[in-house]
Amino acid sequence: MASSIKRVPEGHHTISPHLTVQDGARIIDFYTRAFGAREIRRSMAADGTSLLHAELQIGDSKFFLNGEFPQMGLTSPLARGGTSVVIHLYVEDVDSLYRQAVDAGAKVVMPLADQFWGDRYGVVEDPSGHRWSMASHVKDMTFEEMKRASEATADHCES
Amino acid sequence: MCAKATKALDDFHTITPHLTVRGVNEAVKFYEQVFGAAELFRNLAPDGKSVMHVELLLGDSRLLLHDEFPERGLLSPLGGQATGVVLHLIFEDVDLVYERAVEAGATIVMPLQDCFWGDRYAIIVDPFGHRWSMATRIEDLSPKQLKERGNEFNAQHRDWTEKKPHE
Repeated sequence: MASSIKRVPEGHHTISPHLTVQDGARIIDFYTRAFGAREIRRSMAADGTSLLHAELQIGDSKFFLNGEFPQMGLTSPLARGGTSVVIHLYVEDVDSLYRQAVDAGAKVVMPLADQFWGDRYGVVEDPSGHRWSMASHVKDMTFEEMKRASEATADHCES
Repeated sequence: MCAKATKALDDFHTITPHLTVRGVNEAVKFYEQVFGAAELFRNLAPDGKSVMHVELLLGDSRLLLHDEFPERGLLSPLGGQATGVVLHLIFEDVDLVYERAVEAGATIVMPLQDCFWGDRYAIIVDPFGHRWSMATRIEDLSPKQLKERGNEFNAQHRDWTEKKPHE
């Protein structure tokens, strides 16, 4: 192994989500319009229509896509009836991102609002069924303050 | 007020995955032991047991977890909510992490191997049903080489997209 190789390639973080999506080419267009994603590369499967792999970037973070390959057990949340992973986006201006996403056809799961933990936060669902939360930090809070705010909210919810 | 305890937006990348997990306590132990994660913050639900929110640091990235809350539709892969997301991890030494993952009870989906795109790469499912790929870069390829290798791979794996005879 050549020692010059960067074992963690430049520009990659430790964690990057890799999403199985329906209709790869269209969803790349959606991510571009909804989240301002930048396409870095895409590679189509032998049939010329299935998305084998795509690399996109939002802000400082990369994420990867592949189309559905049911024979390989790769299906999107639409086919699975939901997801247990939410992709969280932290941005400077969440209001404009949220508007952009909804305009592009994202479904609102949790409307954008100021939350007890100091973020302005909302959740949307993309056309493949993946869920994206988005936030801007609007109020600096210590972990202790967040804990108290959370307890107050929980009390309120239970009453 | 301890300034260090302030949640700093600067510490977050644009993208951070947020996982629903059955048994967050066990999961945190697993992610610490296997991936070298460190817990930064946690918030409990009103029952004093369920974990509403945990923030972990894994390498340079944050990872957010919470327990299942079926009443709010938040189910983990173990609760029947299969996932269409693989969480990709990049390490300096993927062999070490892979070994630890398998020892700690991860299920192998794709054994660790040198892959055509220049990574040493594997996929596992953790004991909580979440899927993780992990890699170390072992070969620097030009976009042209990458394309050629991809085409070769495609030619060898036509079965990925071919319809089965009975379909």
